[in-house]
Amino acid sequence: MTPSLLHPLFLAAIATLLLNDHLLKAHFPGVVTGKLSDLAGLTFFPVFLHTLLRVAWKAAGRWSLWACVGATVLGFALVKTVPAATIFAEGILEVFQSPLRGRGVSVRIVTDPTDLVALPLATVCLWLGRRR
Amino acid sequence: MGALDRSAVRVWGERIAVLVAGGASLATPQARWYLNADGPSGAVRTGAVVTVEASVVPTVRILSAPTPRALLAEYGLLSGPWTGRGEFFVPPGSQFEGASLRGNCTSSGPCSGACDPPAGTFVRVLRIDPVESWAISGQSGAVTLPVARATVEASGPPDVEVIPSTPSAPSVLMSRVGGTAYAFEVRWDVAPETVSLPFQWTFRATVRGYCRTAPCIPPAEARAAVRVER
Repeated sequence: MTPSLLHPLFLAAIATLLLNDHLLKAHFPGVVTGKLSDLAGLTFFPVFLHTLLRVAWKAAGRWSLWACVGATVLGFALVKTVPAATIFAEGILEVFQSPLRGRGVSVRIVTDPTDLVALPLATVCLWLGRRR
Repeated sequence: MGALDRSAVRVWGERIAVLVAGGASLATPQARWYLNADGPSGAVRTGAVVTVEASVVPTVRILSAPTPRALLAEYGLLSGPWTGRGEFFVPPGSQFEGASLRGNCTSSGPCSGACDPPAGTFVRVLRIDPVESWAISGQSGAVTLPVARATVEASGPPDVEVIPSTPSAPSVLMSRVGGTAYAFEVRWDVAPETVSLPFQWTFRATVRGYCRTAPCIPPAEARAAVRVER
């Protein structure tokens, strides 16, 4: 069975991401808050992707969860290690944020290979799915 | 609550969670504003002093081969409080890329306004004057360690480089360690056991300065002593 985004762990991860990005980073800038968003985001993002897939294409099998984990890991690794991918990701986010923020939005993502330490958390959903 | 109700609550709960998760993912990066004042293209031949005016202390980008750019950025180029104007030395052969300011937007989240610099924020390059320069270098002996710590006793931020004994030697990674000391970790970019031939490298540090008038000789306190240890 595939895990739900309503699992307490994923809800906590979403809350942690919001809290860290919009409160903690401003008040406690440093290594911990710098990595916390990556850890939280990677924890829930594969399940978020999988839920979208399930709604859009009714693709709810375990293979699709593996695909979502793979896509998350690959995308994150590229953005954090290849400057061109970082710029591309910034551009995408700027497009999404522009309608709400107005023109001149500047999104900043850092190319930082040390953020890859968070990658194992992308597989948490596979482990949770196996336990259910 | 009936089974149907629980199912509906779950469906709606999941939809809300998807929206919040999507919003959190898209709104994650903190927006920033940037102001740049670019320098002239090309390297300076004899050294130069760049005068920069800015509302707050700027980031000054000087490309100085062979020191990795990240190390230069970590040094910080100033001592003392920022008075609105500063002079920055560009060593011979280096390139002054420019000066910049950046900051976080005053509000965050996907519903904040456009991200413009605060009123009164500015940075500009006032002038670039050619100057005479001096340099003093220190060098380690030949080292064969695959991982070592190199410490430089220097009177100012040193340019550092690792010189391999042969062109076929594996490349070397160098990162700054420690706080205010000029200490660096030097590490082969391969597993030591995969290197069949022993090879040597030396660590060189150079401290530079400038003079407004000739002759330009290093001051008595100038020093660049290198110590390498395991």
